[in-house]
Amino acid sequence: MSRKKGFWRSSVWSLSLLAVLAGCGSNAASDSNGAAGGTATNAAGSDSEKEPVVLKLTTWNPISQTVVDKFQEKYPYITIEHDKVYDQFREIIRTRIVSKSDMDMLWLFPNQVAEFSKEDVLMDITGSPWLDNYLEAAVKLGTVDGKTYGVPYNSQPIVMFYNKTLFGELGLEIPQTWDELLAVSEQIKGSGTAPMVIGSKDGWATQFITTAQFGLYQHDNPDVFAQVASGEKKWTDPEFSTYFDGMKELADKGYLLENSVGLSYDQVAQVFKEGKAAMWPMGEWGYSENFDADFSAFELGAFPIPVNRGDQPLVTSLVSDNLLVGVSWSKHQEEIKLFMEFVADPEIAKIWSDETKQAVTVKGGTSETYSPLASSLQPLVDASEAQIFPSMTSSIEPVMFPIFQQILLKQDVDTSKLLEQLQAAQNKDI
Amino acid sequence: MKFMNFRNYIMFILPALLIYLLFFAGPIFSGLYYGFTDWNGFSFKADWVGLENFREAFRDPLLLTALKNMLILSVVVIVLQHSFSILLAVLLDQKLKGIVWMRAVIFFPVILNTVVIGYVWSYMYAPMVGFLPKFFDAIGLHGLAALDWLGDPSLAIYAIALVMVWQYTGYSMMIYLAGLQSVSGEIYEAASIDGAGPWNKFWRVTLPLLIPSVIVNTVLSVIGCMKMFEHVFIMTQGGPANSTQTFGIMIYQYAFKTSQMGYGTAMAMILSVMILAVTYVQIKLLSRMEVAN
Repeated sequence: MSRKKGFWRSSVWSLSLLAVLAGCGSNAASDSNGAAGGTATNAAGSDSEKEPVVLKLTTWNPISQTVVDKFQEKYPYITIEHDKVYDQFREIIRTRIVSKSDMDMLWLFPNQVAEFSKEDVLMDITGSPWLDNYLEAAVKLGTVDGKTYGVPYNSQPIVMFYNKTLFGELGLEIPQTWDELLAVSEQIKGSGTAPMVIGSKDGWATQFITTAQFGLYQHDNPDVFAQVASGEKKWTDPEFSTYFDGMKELADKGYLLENSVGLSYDQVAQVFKEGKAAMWPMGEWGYSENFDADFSAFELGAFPIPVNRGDQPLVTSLVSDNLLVGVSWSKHQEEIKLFMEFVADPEIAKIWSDETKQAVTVKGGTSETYSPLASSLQPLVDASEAQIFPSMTSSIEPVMFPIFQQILLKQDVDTSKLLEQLQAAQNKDI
Repeated sequence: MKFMNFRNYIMFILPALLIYLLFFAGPIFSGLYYGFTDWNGFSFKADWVGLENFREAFRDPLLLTALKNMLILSVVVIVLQHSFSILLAVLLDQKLKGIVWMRAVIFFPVILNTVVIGYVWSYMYAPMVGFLPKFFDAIGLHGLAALDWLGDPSLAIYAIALVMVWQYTGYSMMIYLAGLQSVSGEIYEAASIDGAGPWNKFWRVTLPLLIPSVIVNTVLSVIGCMKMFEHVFIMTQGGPANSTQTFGIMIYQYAFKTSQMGYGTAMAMILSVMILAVTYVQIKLLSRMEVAN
């Protein structure tokens, strides 16, 4: 009899264990329906009456702790918990989304916003008054089918870092057009230094000479990449026919540092700092991530990458890819909106800009002193036409980056075939 | 009474069985299902596409590169890793002072994290700034110093294979060492009486008696090469220009980068079937060798 009891007790324990294990992955899902109701209760009444709320903010790069402290001072019942995901951010976030894990606010890449918006996992912030504080193009990047889900917070120009000392010694001016860039490169090559270095071990770091042209395409047609994503335009259309030509020209003319294809992003920075090449195309983050304040091997400068030919304007592409979004199943949607409103204040944005050493998309929110390069670079960016770097659909980068590597390796490529490859990848996402 | 025993056995295995069903069998069977769908990895719906993912996999131009790399890794690892490890096992099977330390030193890379090893070797190989180019330059081998180990598509997969050999030689050596220690000394004595020298003893006594260890080692190595992911992911991410693509990298890219979880899962199923088939053939062939010896 007692054995029988033992059997059933053990069975119940085992099933309970199973239920607990199964529950681990889905507890958040059961909260989703109650989300709005919970926040409405929390939002009502004075701050002192409110229950403590912990808002989790998941990002891949540093945030401003001073801004967080100020927010917590203003709303003492809210605590911001920063969750930094250093690597494989996209993949980790995807698994968290699938399992509806415990998240409130996070950065998302623009194409992730487009993907996740279809699955109702993002908070709709359309029409929030503080959206007017952001650049129009930034709000557009977080808007899908007329609904706004997020706004990219930081904004960093794609630039050509250059050895100002060497330019001075050779009597070179900052190039304003593609032809001038080629002429400058020829002179640098003649002096015995490699004009440029582009490593390709990290696929993403190969792209900037080529993707700097995105701004030009957007200058001609602001909706061009939305049309490419929808299938209305194709990579094989005539307007993209010279897309790979610039990089190929640099490789064919020997303007890229030899044997540098195997270098990773940070190794390229090291090679550039050692003076082995005179220019390095990269986002402005290349400075804050690789140069110490006491760097003195040479004077460093940066200028917008001039990919414009003929009568095309000089365009600066601004990478603005960390869209601040809220998740739809968070119980604290009102508090998320409070945070979003708080960081949209230009004065608060200036603190963020200074502390994270990056420009921001809040109008008037970029600190004048956010980077030692800012004072010389900003006038050049202002003199050009600024365009926000567009969002590519998910199948493009895994195909585009190996194509860049092929070109850097000087493989015998037919650029029209490469564009067909790109379109084949695009077709998977349409 | 028999029923009571049976019930007790069941109770003992039940917790482990539940965990196995939940975390192993469940995902395997759900993976089987998703391989036949167009699931993107995060959507709450997945449409049945039949065999389309498998048809597309066999049309995928990267599949051939992955197969070629699988073969290169397997050959290089089997030839180099097993030659070195058998040699080291024989040398370190002697009764010498400090032999335990020497075994530990050779085994050490096995206990290191593969990610750490990948990063360290990336810096070793890095052109211009890495250890190897600087070392070769210092000793006057300028041709070797100029090599872009991970950036040259014709070299990169071999550079990765060398790191695998470096890391796992100690592991194979330990299995061979265990095999050697089970060989009775009397057999060597008998061989000596028959006039066999060290060379003959190695070829005619040691190696044939090590065949069970060879089977275990080569099967493990080939499986490791077939599902290779970590080293490639850290050192080249499948590049340059897809030259180091492996099944593991492709599955990861399709499943997690390009939102084609269904297709990635189908690719994983193809890899699993290939591993099963190759392992079966390998065990059969090597077992025949063992019987023949």
